[in-house]
Amino acid sequence: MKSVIIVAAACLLTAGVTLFAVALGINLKDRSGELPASDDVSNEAAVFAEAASDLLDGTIIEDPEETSDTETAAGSAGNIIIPGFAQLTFKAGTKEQNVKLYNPKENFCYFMITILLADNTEIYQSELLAPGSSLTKIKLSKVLEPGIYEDAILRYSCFDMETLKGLNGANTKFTLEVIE
Amino acid sequence: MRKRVLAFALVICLLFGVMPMSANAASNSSTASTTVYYTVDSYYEVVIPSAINLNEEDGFQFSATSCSLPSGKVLYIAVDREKTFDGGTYFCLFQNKGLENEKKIACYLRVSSSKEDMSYTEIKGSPGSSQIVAVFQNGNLNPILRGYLRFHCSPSSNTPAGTYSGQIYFNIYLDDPSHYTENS
Repeated sequence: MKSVIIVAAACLLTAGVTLFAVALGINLKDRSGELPASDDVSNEAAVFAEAASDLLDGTIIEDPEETSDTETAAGSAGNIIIPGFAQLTFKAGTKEQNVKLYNPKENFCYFMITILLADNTEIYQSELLAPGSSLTKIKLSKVLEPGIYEDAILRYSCFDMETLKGLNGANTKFTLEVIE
Repeated sequence: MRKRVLAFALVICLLFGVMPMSANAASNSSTASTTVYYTVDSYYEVVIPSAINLNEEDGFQFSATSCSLPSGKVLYIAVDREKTFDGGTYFCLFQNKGLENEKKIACYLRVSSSKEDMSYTEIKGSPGSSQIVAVFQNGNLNPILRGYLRFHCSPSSNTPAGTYSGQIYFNIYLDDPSHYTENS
């Protein structure tokens, strides 16, 4: 009988300690701020509202396709989509470079992509690139020294896919950064 | 006596079993972090005409399918004077270009804000004349300035019949908005 009382007391004690510890743990965790308190949620809402306001002001546009409509149907047979970049980064001391140059799949023409420096030095020319295909690794004709090369040119020469007749083309200027 | 020892041992086991759980609930000592990288590239995709049949259309409306530009920059599309005008003042369409029986028709290139806008700026091959046909702002898929390039060809009465064609080359570049002027 005595031992039963001892076991029952032990169980009660254990349950009490467990409940106390869990309650203490939850309390401390809330105080640490790891979980967003209601104030944090409202702050987040305020930040989001501010970002949305900026979007409407046109200062930040994350998804331009949904904010504007284009009058011209891109990718039709009479159009060419030309991709451009503000900056590309190459590695110094090697001719092999990782890039992401592509012919948008919506196009109906071949691309020949040429990379030139501002002084018209040609450092790369691609083969004909079909719509939807891309270049991820290229080999330059010369090794570049580290530095910033302003007004480098990505030249898109466009060709009809049936006759290979030259179409309108474009030069896009970009900043070429060559790093060690 | 043996039962007492057993009960005591049971209590000790239960207490030690519960301690790690309560300690974990109470502290933030076991944390881990992961750095997440996402590089936002400045890029754009603009739409230029591949070919225009002037019997069906009088011009072309420039647009973009993507326009994520660096802060403080706008995107310009300009006619490449050297490659488009061949040193002349006007854009020409040719028949049998480079051959002995070459024929050509001079065209006026006129840029306005839209197809409906009949006011225009002439794009000429002469130095100093404006070459800009469209200006895009960050996030805008339609030009904020100019944007519609119109062709006005004037074959003379003795121009031989046939199909005439020519190519226009464009320079696409980022620059400060302040660099835009009507006569740039």
